[in-house]
Amino acid sequence: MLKNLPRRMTSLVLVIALAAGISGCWDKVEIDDRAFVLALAIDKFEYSEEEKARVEEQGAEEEQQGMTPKEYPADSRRNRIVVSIVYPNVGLLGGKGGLIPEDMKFPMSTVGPDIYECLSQLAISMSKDIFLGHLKAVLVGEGLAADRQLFMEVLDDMDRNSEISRNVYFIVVEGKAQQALFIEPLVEPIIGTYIEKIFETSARSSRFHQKKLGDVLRSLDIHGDALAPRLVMRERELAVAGSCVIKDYRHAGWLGEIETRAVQWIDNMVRGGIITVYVDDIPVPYEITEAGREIKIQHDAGGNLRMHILLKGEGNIVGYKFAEKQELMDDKFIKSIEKAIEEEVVAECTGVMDKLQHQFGVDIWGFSEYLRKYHPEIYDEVGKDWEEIFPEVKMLFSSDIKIRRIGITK
Amino acid sequence: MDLLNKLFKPKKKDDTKEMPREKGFADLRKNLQFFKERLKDCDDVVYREFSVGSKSQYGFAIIYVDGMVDKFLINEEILKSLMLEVTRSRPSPGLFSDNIYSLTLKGAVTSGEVKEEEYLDKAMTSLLSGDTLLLVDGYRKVIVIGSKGWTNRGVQEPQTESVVRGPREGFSETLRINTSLLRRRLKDPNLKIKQLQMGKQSKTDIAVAYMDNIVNRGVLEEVNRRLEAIDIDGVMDSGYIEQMIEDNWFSPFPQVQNTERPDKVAAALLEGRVAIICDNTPFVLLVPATLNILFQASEDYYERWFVASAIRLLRYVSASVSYLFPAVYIAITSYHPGLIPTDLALYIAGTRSTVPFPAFIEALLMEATLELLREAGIRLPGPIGQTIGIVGGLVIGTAAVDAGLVSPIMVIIVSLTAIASFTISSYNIAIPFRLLRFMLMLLALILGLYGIMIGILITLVHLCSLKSFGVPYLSPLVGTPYYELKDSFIKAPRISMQKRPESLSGGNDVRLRDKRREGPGKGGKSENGKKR
Repeated sequence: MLKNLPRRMTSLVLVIALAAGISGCWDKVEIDDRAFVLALAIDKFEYSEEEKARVEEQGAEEEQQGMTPKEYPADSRRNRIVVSIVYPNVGLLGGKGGLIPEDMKFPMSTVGPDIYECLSQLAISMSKDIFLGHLKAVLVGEGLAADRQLFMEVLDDMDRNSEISRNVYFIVVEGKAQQALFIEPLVEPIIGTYIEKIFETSARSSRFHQKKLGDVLRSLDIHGDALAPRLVMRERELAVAGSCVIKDYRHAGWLGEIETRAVQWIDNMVRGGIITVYVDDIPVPYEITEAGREIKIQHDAGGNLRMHILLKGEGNIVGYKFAEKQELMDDKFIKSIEKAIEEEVVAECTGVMDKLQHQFGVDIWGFSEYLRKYHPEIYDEVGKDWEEIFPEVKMLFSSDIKIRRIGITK
Repeated sequence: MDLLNKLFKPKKKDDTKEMPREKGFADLRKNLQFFKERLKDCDDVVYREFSVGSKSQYGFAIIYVDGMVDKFLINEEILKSLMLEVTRSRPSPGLFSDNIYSLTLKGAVTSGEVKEEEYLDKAMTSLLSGDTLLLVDGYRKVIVIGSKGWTNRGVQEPQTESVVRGPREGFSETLRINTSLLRRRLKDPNLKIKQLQMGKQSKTDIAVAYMDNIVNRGVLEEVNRRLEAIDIDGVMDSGYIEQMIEDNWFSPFPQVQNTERPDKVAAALLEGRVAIICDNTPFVLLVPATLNILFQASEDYYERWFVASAIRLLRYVSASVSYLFPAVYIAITSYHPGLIPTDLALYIAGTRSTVPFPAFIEALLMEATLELLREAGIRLPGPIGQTIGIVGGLVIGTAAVDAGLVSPIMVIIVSLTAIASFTISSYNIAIPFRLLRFMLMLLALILGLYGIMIGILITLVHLCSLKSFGVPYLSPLVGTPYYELKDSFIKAPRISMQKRPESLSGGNDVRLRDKRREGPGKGGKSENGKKR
């Protein structure tokens, strides 16, 4: 035992030294020296008309004075995107006075060619190390999403980053992402946690698309199309509502909240929500408790593909009108409401399918993938030209809605 | 290597040479002379010369050490018997004068424990152990009368291993009382208690106890071999022996169990383990000891299995907490803040924003304070110890946080590790976790969670290689039949633990039979069924 000791000690020291040396992962930063960036906003760099005019005026002035005009930001190759971050003032959480600034959060922003360049530019003016491990949301501006080249660059930057989790919410903002990030919300001071809470608590409403960065990246990687949630700005609040259709790495258009629900129903993603139908001009809200769908694919007489999609749902009637006596106890009446809801659901789905088939021409459900998995013989036939075939596929919707409960009133 | 040898194997300097064996003299005066010379300046030795016989013609002397003997016994059973009662009886004179020695030995001394001794040196040892020497003029042999009777604190409740339910008797400092506590629990001729003496000067009595029909012979032989190899001047506590017989003295993990509880020792003997009882200490050693055994408390076996299992799991969890917590805190705050929930990360960052030290220094500071307080609390007398507790609690708890020197989370972590380390059943197995915690903190500082994994691996590798008297230290987890796991992280119901642990005992493995279920008609269960 004693004889082996020096050898053992040597090997021990060697193991530790090798581990420390080879792994090259020496990233010790104290937790209080990190800036926890909870939300990241990326926009395309664009000058507003007024600013353009101002810069041009200044340039002309300088030329008159015999100077060579400086290269203005608008002209530089480096100015491609605007990256904005917000990180909370954690000192306030510690509850200590003294040298801690009073602001709840610190918004920062810079212009640069890519995300990393921008982050390192931000870092030189910060007292802390930027840490993206707790990132909650990535906001992408409408303008950036519309620029295919830039959008692909930004997506790749995020895809390669080991610090950014795939569980981050990837949201396309209607307007400027920076504006949404710098908003002063009433309810939650920090945008990142605000957005995360919205997603966590309102998922059952089915009013926005439940996809995260990982899902969006995978979907884009497979067919270049994806659906991302949409962020709408209001004065002092944000709303995640509807979704953004990305076709061929480019923002192609928006879907509203109801349309988004229809998309999710077809995708078997609906977990809840309210459908209101009108019975004799009285709105009857129907609460979805369970939803599902069944797909059948066949060739019709003409040899074209036909998809039958059966949309199933169970739920409750949560309101009708006061002092009604027996109507909701009447089976026939219930059946008629069910029928009305079925019609509504079919109408919604047909509408959104038409939009996606013919207006955008995007198969955001990945039906080709579905075919490949469950109907390989059909896939062999159509897989290659799916993009052309998809808009031609005949979609037939039917619905089966059940009302299970009518509330506790007698 | 040389350095290590020099450090750990110093050259033996024998300061005590074996005394030459001397036989007794025929002359009482010479015998007395021998003892008086040897025990010069030993004022606690009492010599009493007296004469026996109707004409006081026979010279007798007794020698004893004051304070170590039962004086009542000396007065009543020796002096009174010889000086008064002998004169009253009237045996034939010829017989009397010829055989005075054997008559004294067999007839006159009414004490229970009597033996004769040829050598004076051996008699000396007996004398100094509390026996009384009876010297008879004209005879070479010395009569040794067992008269040990010093004051002891009696059988008290053990201080270190208290139980809610279970016997409250504990060992005390007297070997004989301790062996009696064992014998009372195991009234079986198979319980062997073999005695030997250790220490050239202390001549401490050591008893090796085992169940002859259960014990693992290999372990027993190894124990005897190692005990015989001990050559030391004195043994003050069983801790001396533990350190001399353990397998690996570079390991922070104890490989010998110690206990103050006789019930624990008896239970261990029934599992085939060997107990080493040492005079002058209430702590009895039990070998072999495995990690699993050291995590058990005797109460586990007295309570029903649900709670016992839950408590055992809790103990293992608390050992890991005590071992890992500060290191994990350092690793997470310095390397991997992404691993904890965002709110917690922000809170820790916030509370640490005024702390001037890095997390490692902060943790080291607090853990060191904790160890300081613990040590101060043990060494100080009771009432002052409480003061230390209050002051320490204030210092650790509020003042350090208010001063902004440490973060409140750190205080929680330190208190948790402290409490967790106190829940580990035996004191000596809590120590390695306390010490290795600092190694792990250092590794966490250098390499983060990766370092912690390396630390855990090193510990595991070490534990795997460790053996206690030939039994692997991680015993029920490695290389044993599955049924031994019934008594590991959990404790199975008593009725299902029908076999002795194979890794410990040597054969004779059935310890319990479930007669209620054996055979139809025999058991109480089926009879009940018939009655219905």
